[in-house]
Amino acid sequence: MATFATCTDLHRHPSTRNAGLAAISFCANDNADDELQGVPPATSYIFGQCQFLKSLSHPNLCEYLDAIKGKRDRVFVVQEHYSNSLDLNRITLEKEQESTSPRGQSITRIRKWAAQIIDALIYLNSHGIVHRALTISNILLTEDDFVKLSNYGLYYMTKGGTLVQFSIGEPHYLSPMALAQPYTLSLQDYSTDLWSVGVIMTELFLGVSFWRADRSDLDELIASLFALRKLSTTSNNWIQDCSENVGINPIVLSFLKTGRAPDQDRVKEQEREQDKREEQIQEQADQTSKEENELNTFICFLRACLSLEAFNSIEPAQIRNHDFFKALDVLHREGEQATGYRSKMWHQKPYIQSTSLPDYEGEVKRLRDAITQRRLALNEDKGTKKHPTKNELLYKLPLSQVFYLWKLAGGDVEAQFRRNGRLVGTPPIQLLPKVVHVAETKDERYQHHVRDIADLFSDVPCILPLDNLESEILKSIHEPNKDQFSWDTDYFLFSDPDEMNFLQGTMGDDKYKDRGTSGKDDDFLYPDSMRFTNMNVAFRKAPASLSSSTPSNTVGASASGGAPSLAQQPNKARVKVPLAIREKDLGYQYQRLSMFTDLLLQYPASRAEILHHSKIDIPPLLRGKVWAAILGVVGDYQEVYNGYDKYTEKPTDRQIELDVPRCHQYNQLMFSPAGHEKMKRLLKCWVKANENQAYWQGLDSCCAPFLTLNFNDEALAFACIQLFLPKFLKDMFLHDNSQVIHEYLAVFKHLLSYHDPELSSHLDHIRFIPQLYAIPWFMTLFTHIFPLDKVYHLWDKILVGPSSLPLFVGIAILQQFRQQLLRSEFNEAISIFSESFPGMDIEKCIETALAMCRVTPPSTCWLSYDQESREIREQLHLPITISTAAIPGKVVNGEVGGQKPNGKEISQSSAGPTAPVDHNIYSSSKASSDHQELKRPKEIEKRISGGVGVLHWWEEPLSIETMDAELAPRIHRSDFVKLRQQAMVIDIRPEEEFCNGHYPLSIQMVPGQLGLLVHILGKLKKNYLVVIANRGDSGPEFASALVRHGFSRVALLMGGIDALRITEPVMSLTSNSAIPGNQASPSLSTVSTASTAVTGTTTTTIITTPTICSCKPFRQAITVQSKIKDEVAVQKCKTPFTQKKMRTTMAA
Amino acid sequence: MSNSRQTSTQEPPSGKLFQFKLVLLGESAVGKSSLVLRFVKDQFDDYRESTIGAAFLTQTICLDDATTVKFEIWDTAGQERYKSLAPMYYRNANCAVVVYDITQSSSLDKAKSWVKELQRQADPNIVIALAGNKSDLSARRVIETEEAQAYADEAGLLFFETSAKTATNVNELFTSIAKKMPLDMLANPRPRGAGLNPRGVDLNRDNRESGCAC
Repeated sequence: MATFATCTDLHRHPSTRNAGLAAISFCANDNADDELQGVPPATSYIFGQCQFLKSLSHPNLCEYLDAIKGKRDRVFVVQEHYSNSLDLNRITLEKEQESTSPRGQSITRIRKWAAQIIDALIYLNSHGIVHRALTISNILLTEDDFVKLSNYGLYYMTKGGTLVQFSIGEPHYLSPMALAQPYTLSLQDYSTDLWSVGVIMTELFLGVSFWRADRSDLDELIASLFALRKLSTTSNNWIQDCSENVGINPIVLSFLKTGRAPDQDRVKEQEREQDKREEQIQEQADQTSKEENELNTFICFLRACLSLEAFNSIEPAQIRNHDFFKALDVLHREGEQATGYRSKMWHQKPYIQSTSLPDYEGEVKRLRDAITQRRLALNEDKGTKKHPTKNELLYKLPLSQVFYLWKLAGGDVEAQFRRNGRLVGTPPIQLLPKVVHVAETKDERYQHHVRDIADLFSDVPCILPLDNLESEILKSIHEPNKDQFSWDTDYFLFSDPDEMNFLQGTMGDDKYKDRGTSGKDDDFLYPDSMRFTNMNVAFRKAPASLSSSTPSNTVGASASGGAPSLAQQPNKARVKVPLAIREKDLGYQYQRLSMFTDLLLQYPASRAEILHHSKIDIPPLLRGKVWAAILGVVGDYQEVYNGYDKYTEKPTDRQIELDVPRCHQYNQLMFSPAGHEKMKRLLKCWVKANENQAYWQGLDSCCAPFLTLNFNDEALAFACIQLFLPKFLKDMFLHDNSQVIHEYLAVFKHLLSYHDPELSSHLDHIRFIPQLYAIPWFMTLFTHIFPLDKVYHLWDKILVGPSSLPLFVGIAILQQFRQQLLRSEFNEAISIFSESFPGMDIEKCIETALAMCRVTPPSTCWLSYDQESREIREQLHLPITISTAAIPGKVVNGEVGGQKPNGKEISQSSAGPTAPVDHNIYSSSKASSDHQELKRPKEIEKRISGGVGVLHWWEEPLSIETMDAELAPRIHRSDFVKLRQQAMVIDIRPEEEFCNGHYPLSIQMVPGQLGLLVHILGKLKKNYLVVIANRGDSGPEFASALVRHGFSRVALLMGGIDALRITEPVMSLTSNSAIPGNQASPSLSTVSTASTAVTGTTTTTIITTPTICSCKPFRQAITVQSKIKDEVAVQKCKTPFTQKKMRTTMAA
Repeated sequence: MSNSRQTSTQEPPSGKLFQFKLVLLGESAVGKSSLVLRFVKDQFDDYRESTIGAAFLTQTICLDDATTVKFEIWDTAGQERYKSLAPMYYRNANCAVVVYDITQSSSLDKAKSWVKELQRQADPNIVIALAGNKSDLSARRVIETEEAQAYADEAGLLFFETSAKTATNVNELFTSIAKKMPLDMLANPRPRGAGLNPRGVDLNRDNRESGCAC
C-alpha cells in the first residue's frame, strides 16, 4: 500500500471539477489587554483551528485552503467555492416562474440535497464540529447539482463566536435552542443543525419564507425565536400547540400541522402535466397515493428536524436512516457508487500504482494546443456564444496546489478584497446587533483599535479569479529563457575534473538499493558546482550551455523498478538559478508539484526517484511529505503514534511546558494555541517512545520543522522525528551526552583545520573554542539559531546528504564571518555569535558546505558513535572468517589484540570481547595500552565477538583527549587509495626504514626540518597532504605543525606505515614477529581468491595499489613481488628528502 | 555587534576600564536571558527562545568619571540537564547573578543550590547577586521579598527583585555588582583597548593544557 495514496491533499476529487476559490474575511476580537496576561491573541487561535479545518475532506464539503492573518486582527479564510447555491437556485427558479405565486422544489430533488447535507453534517459531527451557521446561501451547488457546504467552520474556529464581535449564524435559520447556548454545550449539540435543515427544506418545498418576519428584521425574528423556545419548554409538541402569534409563516405552520401543502392541488396539477406522456389514468391514481406517501414521509422528516423537545432530539446520524431517505437509497445508491461520490468509497479505495507516470511534457503540449484551438474557435465565434475557458490543467491539481499556484502567479487575498471594494463600506447583511466594547485603557497604543462594527464580517465570499491562471502557467512553462529550470536536469552535475568527489557512490540508501537504484550510484552524488581553492571558496560559474534540452520523460520508467535514468547527461552544465527565484517561479513550481505529487502517490516504490529529485530542490508546498519520503517513513505511522501514551504526567512535562511557549514563536503555527498543544503532545510522545534518551532543551526546536510542515498530521511528524534524530543527532539526547558532543566538536575542529587552517589557528589562538558557540548548532542542527524558513532550506540538503554534512555547514557559517573573525579578539568574535545571524546567506552556506563535503575524505568525519561511519568501517572488513581460530596472531576469534609500540605483540587467544585496545598510539606511547576511556560502541563489540569482522588497531576510535590534542584529522586507508593521485605523501619515518620500503610517490622528511622546507612544500600545490608515520611516532605533531603553517587538507594516515603494509586482513593473521613489516605473506593467488569472496571493495583495490609492492615485506616475499613487479615500479631511494630530490619529484 | 549604548558609555577619554566576567545561573525560564537582554539592549521579548549551552553578551557601565566597568556576560541554559556544562562557564567568573522567579517557589531552591555550588567550586572571591525576577507579576507572587532577603543576607549576597519586562531594578542590579567588585585591589586596571585584564576573563585558561605542545 502506498503510504500517501489516500492523502487528500494529493488528490483532486472528481466532484470538485468546477470549483473556484473564494475567501471570506472577518475581524477577530482585539484582546490586547488579555494578551498582557498571557492569553494568546484571538487571531492566533483562529489561525490554529483553521489548520484542522484544512484537513477535513468530504465530497459534500467545500475544502478549507488557507487562513491568512491580516492587519488589525483581520482574518481571511480561503475556501473552495461554487457560484451556484440553493439560494441562487431558488431565486433563478422564481424568476423563471411566470406566475407570481411561489413555487417549491420537487420532493425528489429536496431529498437528494437533504441527504447530502446530512451526510456532510454527519462527517462534521464525527470530527467534533457543529456547523451552527447553516443557511440557504452557504449551501452551494456544483454544476452536477451536488451539494457543497461552505463556511461550516466559522463557529468552530472562533470558539463558538466568542473570539469575534459578531454572532455566528443567521437567526432566520438558527435553532431557538441555540440562542444563548454556551459554546461548550453547543459543541455536543449536533441537533441544532437539523433545525436549520428543516427550515431550509420547508422553504425549498413551499417556496415561502419560514418566518413571517423579513430575513433582515432581526428584532421580530429574535422575538419569535424566544417565543418558540419558551413554547417548547411547556409543550410536548410545539408544532401542534403553536399559534400564529409566534411568528411562523401561516402557510408553513399549516403545512407542518396538517401535512398538506396549501398549494398541493396546484403541485399535483403540474406534476400531472409532466406525467401526461404516460396518460394512463389508472396508474395516475397509484401515482397519487405514492405521492401522498412521499409527502407524508417528508412531513415526518421535517417534523423530526424541527423538533425542539429535549426528549425527542435527534442527531444527523440518526435522521439519515429516516424513511424519507429510503427511496433515495434504493434509487440512487447505484448511481452514486458509479460516480464515486460517496466519501467512503473514495477514501478507502487503494491507489493502484501505475507503471508509468504521466508524460508532463506531452500533456502540457496537448493542453496548450487545446487552449490555442479553443481561443481560435472563440475568436471565430465571437459574439455568438460565450464559452468559458475550461481550466483543464487546473482541474487535475488538488485545490491546495491551485491556490498555491494562484498565489505564485501574483494572487493576494487581501488585495483582492480591496480590489472588490470589500474592505470598506458596510456589509450587505445585517447581523445581530451587538455592542462593541471599546477597552477603556489609558494606554494610547490601544486607542486605534476602535473601529466600525460594520466591517467586522460579511459572509459574502470574495471570489479569487482563476481565469488566467492556467494560461499563465502554460506561458511560464514555455518561456524559453526559463529553460534552465527543466526539472529533470541536475544542473549541479557539473563537476571539476581536478577534484575528488568523495560523495560519489556513497549516497545511496542501502535499505532501498534493491529497489531500482542498484548500480546507479551516480544519481546520488552531489555534483560539483564549485571549486574549493585554498581558504576562500570561489564560485566557478558553469558555462551557460543552454541547449534546448528536452526534459526527459524517463521518470515513469524508473518508478516501476528500473534505474532512474535522469542523470544520463552528467556533463550537461547548467546555469544555476537561485533557489529563491525557483521557488517563486510559477511554471517551475507547477512542474515540480505535479511531478512530486505523482511520485508521492507511488511512494515507497518511488523513493529513489524522490531522493534524486529532492537534491535539486523540494517544492515548498509538499515539503512535509517529501521529507517523510526521504527519511523513509513507511507503514501505518498513525497507528504507531496512537500507540504511545501522551497524556500521563511525567517529570519532563514541566520543562516541556516551559519551552513550548517560547519555541519559534514568530511562526504563526507554532504561536497558535493549537500549535502549542500539538508540540506538547509530540514531545511527550517522543519522551515516551525513547525512554533510553531524555528531553534536552533544544529538542523542541528540532521537532518544530516537522510539526510546522505536517501540522495536520502529528503522526507523520512524529514518524519523521523518530527517523531523523537517530541519523543526524545520534545519541545527542542521551541522558549523558557529554562524550557525544565532545567528540562531535573535536571532529568539527579537525575539519575546520583541514579546510581553513588559518581561521582555525586564529580561533585556537584567541581560545574561541567550539564548546562556547557550537553546542546549540549541532544539538539542534541549526534550528535553534536560524528562523524556520532558513532551516527548511538547510534541512532540504542535510536530509539528502551524508550525516557529516552538518559539520561542514558549521564550517561554512564560520567562513561567512571569516574576515570579521580573523580580525577579532575573543570578545568581538563571540559577540558575532550572540545574534542569530540575520545576514546569513543560507544558500551560499549550503553550497560552501557541500563543496567541502565533496572533497573531504569521509574517514575524517568518522565518529565512534555514528552509525553510518560504523557501518562503513564494518563494510571494509566483511567476512573474514577464514580459519582465524587456528592462527595465533593479532586476531583470534575476531578479536583485536593491542600491539605495543615496543614491538611485543599481545597474543589474545581467548574470545573475551573486551580486550584492551590501544586508542592512543601516537600521543602517549608508553601508557598507551592502558587507555580504555573510550568505550567501544556496543555494536562493534557485538560484531567483533561474533567474529563477523575485524578492526585494525588504527581503526579503533581515538580517545577524545587525543583528538583534542591534535589539529589534523586522520584518514583511513580506503580514502588514501582514492586520493593518492592528488596527494603529496610525506613519510616521516627514519631514513633507514624509508629506504627499506615506502609508498612510491612519497617523500621522506625529518620532522625537525619542516621549518626549512615549508616554502618548497607550498609550491607543490597538491590538493592533499598525507602524513605517514610509524606507530607511536610524532606523526600527529608533524601534521599539526603543517596545519599551523597554513597548509590546508592535511591529514594523517590512520595506522601510518602499518596501514600500507596490510594488503589484506588475512595476511596480518600470519604475522608471528613483532618487528613491523616482518610479515610473511601468502601468495598472491591466495589473496586473489580470497578477494573474490570478499564483498568489500578494499581488498581488491589494495591489490592493484602500488602500496603493497613498495613495502619491505614484499621485497622478501618474492613470489608476490615477481608476479606484480611489471605493474609498478619499486621505488627505493638511498638519500633522505632534500631539495634536490624534491625537484626531481616535481619534475616527475 | 556593539550597540550604541555601549559605545557611548565607553567614550569617556580618561579613567580606567575594568573588565569582569559575569555568569547568570538559575532555573529554566526564570528570565536570565531576558535580564541580559534588558541590561544590554534595553529590549524585552515575550517569547525569548530558550538558551542552549550558553549565550554571550557584553555591556559597559560607567561608575564614575574615572571608572568604567565592562561586563562580559555568560548567559547559561537553565535546564538541569545542561548543568554539567556550567563549570565551563562559571570558571574564572568574577561575579554571578543567580536568578529565581518570584512566581515559582521551586526556583528559589534551585537558586540556593547554585549559590552553594558557586561558593564551593568557583573563584573564592566571586561576587554573587540574587535576583528575584518577574516582579511585575506581583499578583502571582509566591516567594515573599522578606524570605529571599533573609536568605541573601545570611549567605552574603546582593539582592534585588527585578523585572526584565518593566526594566525595574535591572540596571541597579548590575551597577551594584560593579560597585561591589574590589576595584581597588586590582593592581593593573586595563588601559582602554589593551589586552585582557590580568584578573579578567581568561575563560579558557584551564583548557590550554589540552592544546598541542608543538
